[in-house]
Amino acid sequence: MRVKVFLPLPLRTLANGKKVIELEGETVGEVINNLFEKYYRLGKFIGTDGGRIKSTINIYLNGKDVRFLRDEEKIIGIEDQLKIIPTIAGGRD
Amino acid sequence: MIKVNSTLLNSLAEHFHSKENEIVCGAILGFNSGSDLILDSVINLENENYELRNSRYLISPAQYESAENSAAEKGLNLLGFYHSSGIIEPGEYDKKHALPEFVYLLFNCSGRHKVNFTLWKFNSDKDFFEFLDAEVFNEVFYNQAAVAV
Repeated sequence: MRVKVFLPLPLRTLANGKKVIELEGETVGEVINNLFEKYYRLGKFIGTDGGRIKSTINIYLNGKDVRFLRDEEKIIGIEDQLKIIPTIAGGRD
Repeated sequence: MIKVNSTLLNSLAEHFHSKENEIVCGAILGFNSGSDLILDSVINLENENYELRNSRYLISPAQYESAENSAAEKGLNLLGFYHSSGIIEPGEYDKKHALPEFVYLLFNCSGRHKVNFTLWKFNSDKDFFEFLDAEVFNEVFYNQAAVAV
């Protein structure tokens, strides 16, 4: 299945300036892996050493945070959209 | 060169004094003039770190998306984020959460109106914050000068 992945402004620089990337994948995980393979710098920045996504990077499938979806709900369907949106945080150490 | 509208600094001071004992935060809007990056205005956002509001800030994805959309509606770009801080230099916690490309403005206030601030950009390849030089300009002055001419 082909799906559109929308990137937020600051991450576009790590994906050759692209706002929307079309990728293949049957599940959210597959699509994200393909995204990381295609854009190594992006993957390196938002992925962790343990193969997970940084806690401040959020992935939404049709507006729903994938962290709260069951596995069967992470299967990509026709015209589905994935959106990556960061959480902004900072302050004293 | 980065140019900061003085009215933006006034907005920061107002936000700072509206919540004296909390970290205040928000989005920075502006545009690239070709030669300069203009920091034009801000959108005050809610600090959603409800447990450590006096030392840290958090802006949810919903607020982030709203800021990006508001900027587009105004014909501006979302250029980065600001937050108040006793020390106006980013620390490890800031670095851990920083995103590339964005401008980060750290500030505090001396008295009612004086805003002390620094600007930074995160270099994700080298994993450190670069200090950015900035110049403050006065939009009102420019407008008045234009009228006088």
